[in-house]
Amino acid sequence: MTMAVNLNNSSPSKSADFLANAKEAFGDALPDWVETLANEANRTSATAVAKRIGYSVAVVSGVCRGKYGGDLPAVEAKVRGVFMGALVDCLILGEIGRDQCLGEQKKKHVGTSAVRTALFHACRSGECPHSRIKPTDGGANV
Amino acid sequence: MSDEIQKVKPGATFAALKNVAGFRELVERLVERAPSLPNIGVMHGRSGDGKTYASIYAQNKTRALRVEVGDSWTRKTLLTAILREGGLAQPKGTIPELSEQVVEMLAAEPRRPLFMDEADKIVDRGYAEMIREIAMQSNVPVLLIGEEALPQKLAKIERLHNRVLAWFGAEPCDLEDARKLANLLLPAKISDDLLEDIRVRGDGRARRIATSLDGVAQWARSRGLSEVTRENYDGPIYTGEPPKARASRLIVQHLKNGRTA
Repeated sequence: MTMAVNLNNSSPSKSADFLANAKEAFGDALPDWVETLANEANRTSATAVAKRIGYSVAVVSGVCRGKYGGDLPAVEAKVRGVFMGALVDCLILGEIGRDQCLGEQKKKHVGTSAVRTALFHACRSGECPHSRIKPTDGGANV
Repeated sequence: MSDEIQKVKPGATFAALKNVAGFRELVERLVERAPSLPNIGVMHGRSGDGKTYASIYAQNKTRALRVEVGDSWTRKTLLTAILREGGLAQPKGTIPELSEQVVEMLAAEPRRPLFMDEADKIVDRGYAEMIREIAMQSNVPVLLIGEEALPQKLAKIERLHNRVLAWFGAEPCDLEDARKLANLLLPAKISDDLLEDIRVRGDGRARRIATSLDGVAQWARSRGLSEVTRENYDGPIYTGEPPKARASRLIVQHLKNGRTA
């Protein structure tokens, strides 16, 4: 992957070189998704990338430095969904992006539409391989 | 007639019926419209024609926010539902404050449509003007989905009616559509003549056809048949008519079939 050369150094948010940070932090074991994230952050800005994956700028920067202490697989899934075209086969919705899948799992409410209710149960049924919710979280088999 | 039998996945999947494609086009037209054009689209059709499924399919493709308006809903419920669909866990505020939040949220992504299923109820309960307000201020594509009479109901509200860019009337299923439903829902093979019967007696409504096909699937499974034709099928065909009161004739028939009445 060639590094995008950034000729626009006028904005202060672009002072960090995320790809260089990532290479420094991970060395040869740089995961492809971190590389993608760093490249995107260099190409646009950390703020824009953070907004698209639904995390804060601190998370983007932390992941690129290998210093993120939170739920790394969740960030990975978001990055793969948004920037790497990862698709999942949702039990209810059919083929959707991985990032959308995670977004739907987060929504705990029911009642806005029948689909929302079906998703609520499917995400908690223990039958969906993509769900990161433990089936014991209630709702489905009560 | 196609020989291929698709694998049926658990849960809802979609048959690419003409209404699904038609609604997809309507949404596309709204999303790609010139900025000066009005931004409301309407899909109307009979109950069971597959409007909701068409909108769910389009929702997947466009990441639309979709709410199904309930009979008990008020202005506030609707606004809250839209905000929750958009990812806000606990929307708070007065109705004007909520409306402002909705506009702000929608306007952040101008190509992300808003679908309102069962939109008749909005008109019936008299807060259709609020839809116009949200649509105008946010300028995102707003799709109203409702029963046959929705266009007439909207016509009474001229300011809203004027802002409709395109109308799409859901059509009854044709044989091709019925075949697609059969491929999706029926593991056994089904002959064209029986499928046409099911379609005609189900009034061309996707929901009734699907219900009939489910009955055919059960019937075929219980008999271990892999092919169902008009000649060998003696199970029910769903017409939407409520069952009649049981006459003694029916009970006798049951006994003939070796079952107790």
